[in-house]
Amino acid sequence: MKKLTLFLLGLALCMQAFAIMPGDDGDRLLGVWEPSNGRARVKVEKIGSKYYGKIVWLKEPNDPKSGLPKTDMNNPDANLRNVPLKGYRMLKDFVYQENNQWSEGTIYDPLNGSTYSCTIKMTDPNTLDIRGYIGVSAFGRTDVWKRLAVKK
Amino acid sequence: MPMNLRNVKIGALWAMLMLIMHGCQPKSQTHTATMESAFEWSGPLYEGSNPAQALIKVDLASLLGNPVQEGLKITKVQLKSAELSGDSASDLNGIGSLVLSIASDDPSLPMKELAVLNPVISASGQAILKPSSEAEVSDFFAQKAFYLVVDAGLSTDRDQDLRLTGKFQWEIHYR
Repeated sequence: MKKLTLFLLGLALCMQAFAIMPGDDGDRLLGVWEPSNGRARVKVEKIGSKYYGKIVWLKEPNDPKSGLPKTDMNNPDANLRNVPLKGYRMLKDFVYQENNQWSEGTIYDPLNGSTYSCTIKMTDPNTLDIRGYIGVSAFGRTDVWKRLAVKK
Repeated sequence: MPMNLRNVKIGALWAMLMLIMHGCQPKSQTHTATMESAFEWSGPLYEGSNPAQALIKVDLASLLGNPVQEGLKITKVQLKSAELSGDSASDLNGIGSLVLSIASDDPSLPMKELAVLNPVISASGQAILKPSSEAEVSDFFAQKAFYLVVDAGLSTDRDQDLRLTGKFQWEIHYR
């Protein structure tokens, strides 16, 4: 009887542990992140089953010449150059694979209007390796992003 | 010289063949379809960009206004106009910018920005966005469904919910 009680107690604890586990591993990417240069903060959200990161804070939000909020001046599509940079999705279309990696996405550099292929690797719950590249991943650059509200 | 004549004959034959093949292809048609969808934000909302998404189920028969024939192929789709309006004229108060994008769960389809209005003039209660001249979205219409995303850039915090109705005109080319 004692063994059965212990077994049931163990089972209940296991079930509780599973209940508090996040439903989707990919959702660990959600949150606000800061690139190594500290010039912007990017909030990762989910649309459908993919992950997107938009600029929510800029160190220099206004254009030094006009004094107005910065817009996507370098967009190849002239009709979209008025899109505000604050709120712009610079990370797009990331799909969670496994082993803390998200791929199939792109990263946009508003400084030159270029879009690069990109992969994300979470090295710990508060650190991301963001690798932008052209063509193959070997020819690229990795930047380290930190989570703003540190998870313990 | 005889060689040249032979080349001319072969060229003429090819041209005729191409003409016949072109004539056999189904004729390309264009249809302008209007789509309406609602976008809802639950308050309180904070200053900055706030997204709302609507799942659009693709129903070609309803979009094209007639039954879809077997083998119909969508060749090109472009957004021609985008209009967002609130239930009352004051609903657009405090909105500094509006950006419309399209997204899909399909990994091969990257999100695209479709239209923007910046700044928003709220007095009329109606926002007419400027569509992209380049965004071509036929691949999204070949899916069963896609998402339309509206990013409302708020210039101030807002306690209330927000609901906007979008009216979109698409130019659909098909054959």
